[in-house]
Amino acid sequence: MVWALIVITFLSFIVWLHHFFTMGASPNVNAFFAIMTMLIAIPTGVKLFNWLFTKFRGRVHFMSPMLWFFAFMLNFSIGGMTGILLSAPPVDYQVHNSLFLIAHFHGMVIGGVLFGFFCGFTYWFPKFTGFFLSEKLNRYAFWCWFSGFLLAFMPLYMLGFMGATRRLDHYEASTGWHPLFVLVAFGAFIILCGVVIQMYGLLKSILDRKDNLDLTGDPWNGRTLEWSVPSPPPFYNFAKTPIVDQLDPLWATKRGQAPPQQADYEDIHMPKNSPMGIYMGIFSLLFGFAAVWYMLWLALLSGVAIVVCAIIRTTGEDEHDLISKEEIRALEEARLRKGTA
Amino acid sequence: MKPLTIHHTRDPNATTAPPDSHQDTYSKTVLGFWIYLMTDCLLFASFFATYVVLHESTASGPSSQELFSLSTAFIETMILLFSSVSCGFAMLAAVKSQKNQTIAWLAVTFILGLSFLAIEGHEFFTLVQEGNSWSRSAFLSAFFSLVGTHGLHISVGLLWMATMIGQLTFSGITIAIFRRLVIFSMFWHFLDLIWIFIFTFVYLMGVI
Repeated sequence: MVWALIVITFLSFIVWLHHFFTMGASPNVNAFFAIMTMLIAIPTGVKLFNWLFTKFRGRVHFMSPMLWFFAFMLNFSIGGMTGILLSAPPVDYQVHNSLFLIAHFHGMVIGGVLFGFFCGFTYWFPKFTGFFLSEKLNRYAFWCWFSGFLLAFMPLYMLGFMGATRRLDHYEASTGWHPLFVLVAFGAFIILCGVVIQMYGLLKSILDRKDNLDLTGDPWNGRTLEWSVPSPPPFYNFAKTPIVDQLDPLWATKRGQAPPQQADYEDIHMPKNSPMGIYMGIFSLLFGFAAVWYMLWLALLSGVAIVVCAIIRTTGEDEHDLISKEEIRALEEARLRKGTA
Repeated sequence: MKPLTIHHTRDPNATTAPPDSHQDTYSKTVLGFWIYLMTDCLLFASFFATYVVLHESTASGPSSQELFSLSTAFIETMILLFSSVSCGFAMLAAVKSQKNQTIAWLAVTFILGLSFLAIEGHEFFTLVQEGNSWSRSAFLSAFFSLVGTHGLHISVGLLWMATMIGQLTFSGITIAIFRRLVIFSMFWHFLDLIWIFIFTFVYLMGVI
C-alpha cells in the first residue's frame, strides 16, 4: 500500500502530457507519456484491491460514510478503466474532445475525488464538530448523488463513441442522440436533488445539534488514535501524548491486547494563539486586489501592513502558553463526568 | 557570560532523557525552515530553467555578451561572500552570548548587503535607462525575473536583519532570539549560494 502510494506520487509527475496527445508532439514523446500513464494503473489497482480486501470477511456496517466509500470505489474503477483506454494515443485521437473524455474525467473528479471527500467528511464530522450529520438525510442525498451520477455520466460514454463532442450548441435529430441526452439531463436533475438534500441536511444537523451530540468521542468504534479523545478534541488534543508502539494502539487496547495508557497528567506547552496570520491574510487580499487594479496607495498601505504584522509575529518574546496539570485534570474529569451522565 | 544551551528536554540529564515534544520548538523551527528553503530552491530552479531556455531569445535586441559587465558582477559576488563571512562571525559571537559583537557583525553584514543591493539597483537602473528593460526581449524578462527575485530576497533579508539588530539591542540574546538568528543565517547563506549560481550561469557563462 505504501509503495503503491509512493509509486503513484512519483509517476503522477510524468504523465501530464496525456492531456495533449493531439498537440503534435513526436510519437516518441506520446509513447513515453502513454506508457507512464498505463503504468500508473498498476499501483492504483494495488490500492483498490487493498481497500477491497480490508473489507473482505470484515463486518461492514452500511452507514453513510461506508456508502460513499463503496460508490467511490465503483466510480473510481470505472473512471480508471476508461482512463486506460484513453491513455493509448491512437484511441485518444479518436475520442479526444468527445463526451467519452468528459464522462471519464467527471468519473474521476466526482466519483473519485468528491465521493471520497464526502466519505471522509461524513466520517470525521462528529470528530471535529462534536455532533453527527443527519444519517437519514445523508442517505437520501447519497442515493440521489449515486443514481443521478450514473444516469448523467454513463450515457456520455456511449454518446462519445457515437461521435458527440463537448460544448455542442445543437445537434440534428437524425443522430439519434436525443433519448440519451434526455436521460443525462434527468440524471443531472437527480444530482441537483442530492445537492439540495445535502445542504438542507447540513443546516438541519447544525440547528438540531443538541439532539445529535457525540458524547463518546468514538461513534464508529474506530481503530485510530483520534477516536481516543473526545469530540470535538480539546485544544491540547491529547491530555497525554500517546506512545505509539504498534500499528493501532487504540485497537489493541480495545481488544485487551495492550494495557490502557496511563493518564498521569503533565503540564502542556502550547504555542500561543496569534491573530497575525488572519490579519496578514486580509492585507494580502487587499494587496492582490490593489496590484490587479493598479491602486498604488492601497498596494503600499497593505504591503507595509503585511510586513508590520510579520514583524510583530516574529519578534514577540513569549510564544508559549503553559497549561498546568491541574487545569488539564479538571478539564478531563469534567469531560468524563459529562460522558457518563 | 554563560554559553547558550538548547534544551531538547526538561530532564537535566539531557543525553539520556527522551525529547519532550512540547518543548522542542527549536528543532521543529529549524526543520520547518529547511523545508521552506527547499521550496525556495524550487522557485529559483524554475527561474534558472526559464533563463537557460530563453537565454538566446533576444528578439534581435542586445545579447548577454553586450550587456553584462563581469567586473561589476565580480564585485557583487565578493561583497556577498564577505557578508556571509561576517554573518558567520555574528553567529559565532551569538553562541558565546556576546551581544555587542553579534550586533556589530550583523551591522557589517547589513552594510555589505545594502551595498550589494545598491550596485544591483544601479545595474538594473542603467539597463532600463538604455531601453533594455524586461519588456525588451524574452531573454531580458527571464534575466530580470531571476536576478530580481534574488534581489527581493536580499531586501527581505536586510529588513529581517534590521529587526534582529533591534531585538538584540532591547532583549539581548535569549533562546528565542538565538533561534531566529540561526534561521536568519541559514537564509543569508542560502541567498549567497543562489548568487553563486547566478554569477556562474548568468554572468560568467553569459559573457564568455
